[in-house]
Amino acid sequence: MSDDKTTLGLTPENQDFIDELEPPFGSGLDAARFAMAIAIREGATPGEVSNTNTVWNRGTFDGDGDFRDLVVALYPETNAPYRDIEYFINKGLDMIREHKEESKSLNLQELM
Amino acid sequence: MLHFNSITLENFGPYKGQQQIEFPEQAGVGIIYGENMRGKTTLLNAIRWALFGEILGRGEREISPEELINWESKEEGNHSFRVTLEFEFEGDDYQLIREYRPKTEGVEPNNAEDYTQDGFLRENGTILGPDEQEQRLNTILPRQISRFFLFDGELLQQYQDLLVDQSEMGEKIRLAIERILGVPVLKNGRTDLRTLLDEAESAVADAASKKAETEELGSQIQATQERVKGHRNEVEKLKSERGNLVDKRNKKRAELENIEGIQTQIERRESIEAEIEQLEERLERKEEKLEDVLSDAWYAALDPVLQDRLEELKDQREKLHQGHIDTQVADELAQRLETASRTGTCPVCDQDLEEGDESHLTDEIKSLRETAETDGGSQGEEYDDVVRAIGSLQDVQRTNPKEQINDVLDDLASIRVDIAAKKDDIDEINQNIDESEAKRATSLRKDEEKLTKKIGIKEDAIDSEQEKLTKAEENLDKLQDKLDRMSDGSFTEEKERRKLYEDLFDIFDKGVSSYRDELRDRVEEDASDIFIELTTEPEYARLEINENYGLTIVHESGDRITVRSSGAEHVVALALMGALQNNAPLKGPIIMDSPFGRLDSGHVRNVVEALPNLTDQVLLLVYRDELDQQEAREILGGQLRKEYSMRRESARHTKLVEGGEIDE
Repeated sequence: MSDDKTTLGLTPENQDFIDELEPPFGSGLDAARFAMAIAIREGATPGEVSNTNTVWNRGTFDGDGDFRDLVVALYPETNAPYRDIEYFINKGLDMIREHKEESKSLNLQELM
Repeated sequence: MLHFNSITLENFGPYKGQQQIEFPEQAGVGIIYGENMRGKTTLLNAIRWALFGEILGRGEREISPEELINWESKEEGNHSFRVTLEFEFEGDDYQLIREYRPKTEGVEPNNAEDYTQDGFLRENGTILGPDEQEQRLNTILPRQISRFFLFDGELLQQYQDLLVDQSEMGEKIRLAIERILGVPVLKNGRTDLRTLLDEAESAVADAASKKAETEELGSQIQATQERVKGHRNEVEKLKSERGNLVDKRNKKRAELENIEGIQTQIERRESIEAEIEQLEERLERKEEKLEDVLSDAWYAALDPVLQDRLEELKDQREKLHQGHIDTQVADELAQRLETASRTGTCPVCDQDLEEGDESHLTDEIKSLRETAETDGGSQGEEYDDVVRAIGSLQDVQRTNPKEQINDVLDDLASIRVDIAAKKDDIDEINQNIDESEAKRATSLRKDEEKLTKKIGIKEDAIDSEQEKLTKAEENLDKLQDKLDRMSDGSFTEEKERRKLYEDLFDIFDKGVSSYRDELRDRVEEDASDIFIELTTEPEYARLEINENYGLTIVHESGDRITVRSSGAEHVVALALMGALQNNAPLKGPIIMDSPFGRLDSGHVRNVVEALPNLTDQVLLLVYRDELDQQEAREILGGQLRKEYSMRRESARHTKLVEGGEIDE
């Protein structure tokens, strides 16, 4: 895992979009974690996202390493969990944005 | 005695062009019939405007004269109106003209500022100067007592306020009653004597200060007199200021009453706005709560995945565990079989192996070793990975916040719906009220509140000043007693003068109370007589008067009727009017607008019968259902001197027609 990422970033599109999620989320961090969960639940497979700008270092996002362990538990074959996390965050934000555009509003109850 | 001869209206209210009413010369009753909106109240207002230069609507709201220009004539380019009242008073003939016209000839006026108002009074053909005119009109019919001559039947229930202690309207009417009865004449005399007494006291002090033995005391008295005078002036000044503030507040209140509907709507709007504010505060708190619970939203979304994965891992762990046990068993068994093969004896039963068993054992050992190797191998590492993964998932496991998040979201949605509904209510109110009127009502209410506060401050100041005055007066009395003792035989002339004014002041002071009491008795007696004539209830015995001239019906059993119908209030008020007319130094015409609205036919009959006895000149402004024309003619007979009717030409044009035949 020595090749894993030390920072997490967002695509420019998602960087704009995450601001729209504050509120209802108290912070971009909470929104990003939620987006990550949505992507995993929807069956996204780990991948790589390009053209991101750093937003958090991994210590900020995952101080105790819980999310890293979670990803490893879910995807044991991974060798770069933070790269996967970054991917899931961006993928999840894409999904939420699409949902919002389709339903003309952010319906958290439907998303959950 | 004041007697109206005629009134001529020119483009005033619905009276387009020039129209005249001639009042009968002989004593009796005149009746003008007019349905609603034809201009009965406007006619009463025309007289009021001519006499006092102001027009009051119901609730005493001052109406701007420009509101009273005949609309049709205004559209035709005529922007003036005029009222001419001709009357006699104490043998002199008067012509009073009040005119409202554009300030600049030929320039079309747009608002009240573009108009000018003129008033002329001719006395026996000679025009009086402005001051003289005002003075004369104030003598003929002071505005403060006009309510007893020109009255609106709809406002008769205000007289009920005389029964309420410290009611503002009651106080106003009480003062007007005392004025019509002439009490102020005595009060003015008392005030003048107070001034003379002060001067006489000063003269004594002045004389004392010029004599060596009383010089110091005289100077002290003079200084104290100055202080008393200062406090007295201050009390008067404060009272007058309070009076002005109360008048202002009454006007604001009257205006507010006039726009009561709007006021109610505004209050409703404010109450809804307050509710919205509370809801918005709740919304804010809920949004904060949502932010808080959404920090675990990721878990709510991921929970089913995590649970599935956890189950999967637990199964895997179970399988790995079972495999591990199977390996250990196979290994142990292979070891035992190897021992048997080596020793030729079964380690379990201790029996010797038979021929052929060895090859079977070799095959079995090989198979067991293969099993152990297959299930064993990297089994320990994989098991550890699975256990670690389970640990990771259990570490993040918590109560699913989904339900809590949903509850908060539901609450938020419900609050937002409530806010939207309330905003709709406000929109509806806004559509129903004229915003400029609403602003006026809000500003009036603020003004009224400010004035109430100022009145409170003035009252406190009066109390404090009054206290200082009392102390100063007590001090002055002591000093004067001391001087009298010290100066026995000196300043006799000054002292005699002072004594004379003291006695006169006492006489007037007592006279005011005694005259008031006497008048009150007379008013009570006359009002009772009139009431008995007017009421249809034979068990009512009389009326009882209170300090404020409020009247209570007394039953023949002696019980007081404290709760009475609006009809009864009306009859009592009419009885009071009649009694005041009987006892007032000033006699004049009574013009009543819609006086029978609240009365049943029995009372109407009684009141009509009593009208000719009220005063020499009575003019009724009534609508047809209020007073049956034939019945009025029968009851009044020869006392009915003249009838007019108000004929509708258009919504903005009424024609006064002599004769009581009313057109539809």
